[in-house]
Amino acid sequence: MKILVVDDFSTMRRIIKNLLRDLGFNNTSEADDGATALPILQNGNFDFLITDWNMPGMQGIDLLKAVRSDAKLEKLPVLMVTAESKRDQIVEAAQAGVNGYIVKPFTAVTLKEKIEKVFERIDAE
Amino acid sequence: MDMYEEYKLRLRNLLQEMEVSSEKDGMATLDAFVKDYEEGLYNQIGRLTRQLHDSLNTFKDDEKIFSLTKEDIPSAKERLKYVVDVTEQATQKVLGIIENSIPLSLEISEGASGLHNRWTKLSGAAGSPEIASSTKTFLAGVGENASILHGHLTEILMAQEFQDITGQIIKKVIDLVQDVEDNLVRLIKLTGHVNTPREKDKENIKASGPCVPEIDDQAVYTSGQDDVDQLLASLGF
Repeated sequence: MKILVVDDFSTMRRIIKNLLRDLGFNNTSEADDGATALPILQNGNFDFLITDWNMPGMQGIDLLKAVRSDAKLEKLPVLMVTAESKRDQIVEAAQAGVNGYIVKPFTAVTLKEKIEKVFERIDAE
Repeated sequence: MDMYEEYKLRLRNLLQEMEVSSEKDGMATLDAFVKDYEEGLYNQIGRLTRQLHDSLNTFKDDEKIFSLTKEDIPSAKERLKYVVDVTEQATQKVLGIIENSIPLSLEISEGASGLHNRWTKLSGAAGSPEIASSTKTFLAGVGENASILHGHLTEILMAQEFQDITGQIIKKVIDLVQDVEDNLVRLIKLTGHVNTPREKDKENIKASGPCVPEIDDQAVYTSGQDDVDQLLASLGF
């Protein structure tokens, strides 16, 4: 499975990549904001997108909306991993079509569970 | 007697007077009062304006405020940026060491369990059963410890997450300090100080960053992953 990890902090990208490797996902790429992520997604047959919200340039929520309105990417599962924890924001992400939402700080177990849940739901559809 | 009490008394008297006098006389007394009141108000505004003017003049001559915008605030921003840089470097270093250590722990774990299996097969056939069984026990322990070590490394990895959170919060404070600087510079320019403020590219961030406990309104924020899950569940997730 090919995964794109988008976060402006390289620390967080590295942490998520390591956790994914532990879970058996070795094929990961990185981007540091929505604007750089979008062309990578459009050209790259990705199976899963994990994105932060608060980033300079294009924010994660706008990346999510761009993905959902792109004919080629609209079905791409998107998991948000973000420090944005306002109720309004979670509702907005849900309405924009997010598949899962993790608030930082999070644990390795949470990441595993949420990824499994995202794909359980997709498989059930 | 303060102003308020004085007005109350005068109004009471005014009302009594108006009750007994003719409408024309009553209106005249009322007009006199209003005029008096307005004059007081204008005097106060005048005094405030004078005070403001004086303050601005002092402000203009205050070198301390000038140096605040010229040196102190830019230096405060640099310091904060430095904190972000240094913690990021430290975090990257730790991450590097963890990334190098995880394969080692896996290698030890796999090696130990492989040898453990081979000793198990050899048991009975080997000439020295005592050393065989203690080697087996040791290998089982090594394998177990290597797994525990792997778990600890993952925990250290997760703990580095702080850098993202603290970094975001410090960046927010840097933006705030920048705003204070911009406003001070504007005020200084307004009072006639010759200054050349540096241009700033303003970014429009809709996101609000991590919640800082005891500062941000807790009602607006979710209280953790469980809360988020509950909210999502209520939205049909």
